[in-house]
Amino acid sequence: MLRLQSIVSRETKPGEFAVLTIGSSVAGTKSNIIADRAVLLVNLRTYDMGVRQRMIDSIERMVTAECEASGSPHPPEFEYYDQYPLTENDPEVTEKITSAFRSHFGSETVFDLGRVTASEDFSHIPDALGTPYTYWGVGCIDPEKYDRALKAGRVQQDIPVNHSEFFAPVIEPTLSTGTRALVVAALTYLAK
Amino acid sequence: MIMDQAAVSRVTADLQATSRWQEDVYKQIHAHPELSFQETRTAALAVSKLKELGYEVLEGIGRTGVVGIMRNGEGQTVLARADMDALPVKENTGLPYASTLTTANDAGETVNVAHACGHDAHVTCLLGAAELLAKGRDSWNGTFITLFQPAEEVAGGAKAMVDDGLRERIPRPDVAFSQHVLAYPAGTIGTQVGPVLSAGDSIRITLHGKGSPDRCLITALTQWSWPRMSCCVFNRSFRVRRSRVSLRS
Repeated sequence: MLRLQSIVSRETKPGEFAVLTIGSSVAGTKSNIIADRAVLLVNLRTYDMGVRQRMIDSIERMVTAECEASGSPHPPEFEYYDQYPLTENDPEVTEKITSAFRSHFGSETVFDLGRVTASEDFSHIPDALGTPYTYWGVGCIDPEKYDRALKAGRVQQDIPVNHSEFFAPVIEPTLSTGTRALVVAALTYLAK
Repeated sequence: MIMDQAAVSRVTADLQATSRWQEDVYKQIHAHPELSFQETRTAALAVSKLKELGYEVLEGIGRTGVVGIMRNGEGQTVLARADMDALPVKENTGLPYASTLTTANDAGETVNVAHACGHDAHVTCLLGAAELLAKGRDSWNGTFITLFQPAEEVAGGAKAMVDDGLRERIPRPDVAFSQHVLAYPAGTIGTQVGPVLSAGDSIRITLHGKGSPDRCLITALTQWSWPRMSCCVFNRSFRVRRSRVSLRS
């Protein structure tokens, strides 16, 4: 497990982003019995398919070598599951849509989203169709509540995020903003 | 790029009327969340609205996926996608339209279910845009495709639609869009060029030993790994800002 952590610290370059989480490691059920197997659950997050492949190769190499070093009777098994593709917005489409949003909503309402530490399966669809795409975020928190939290330096504590049991979007202006955004984006390509 | 604001103004002129039913539809979907690949009620709602608006409707793509196509003369083709599924979470928002439902998951267990990720808003916004564009079709030409995707939360729905022949069943879009409600102030929109959401991979690694008295697992897991966790974090501390580590035993 120590060696796996060294993939991020020693094998990714400064500026490359990667998260490696060992979310679970289970071996045995009793204090005085040595188990015959151990199972590690590892999660990877990357923003570059090259970095991703290098990390996967490193994990397999390190775990296989550690098992061999320890005299393990069988090679380790690697099962990949819950895999999400990278969501990589097309630069030309995104710039076109961003400028359309700025014209329609006003520059002050359009912000740089940055990279979001979440994953999505949307890109499977445009990738399969050979279509460039862009994916944007729509704010959904009561602006006054957000502002109060921001001023108090308590956004993380006071603003429930997606997947929280307390996540509660305000209906307006969330729905009208999301609806307008789709119409503006579509008309950017379809308007007469 | 010069955006034709006149066309946008004409098409969104009717937004107030759309917003009125959107609020009801949003509350309805919010109060009736459905787990991944079980989105039959939500899909039926999308189908009925799309048909009412004159869209050509394809149902059951990737189990519960729905596509609505509006062909409006020569021009480009745009696809906009919304995901439909909810999460096995007990809602605790105290909202009057909060979900109180439970449902059976794939394993047959009874679980709470809630729209804790906001996909109810995605569906409602896309239906609203579908209405505005259908009613405002004099202001544009080309093809508008709405796509309601199942099972985003289990990373299965998009692939299921693709595997079910999506490519052969719809016109090839020139561009595709999707959006997500996020915990930023309502009324704002965030865009990002290049990578925006991470690739995610989970790996189940099984290590084999012979059991007692074999030392493999003792060596591999117990003796060196736990004590060295602290030095691992120490060694990595210079990179803490741009990469997270979490170790749980």
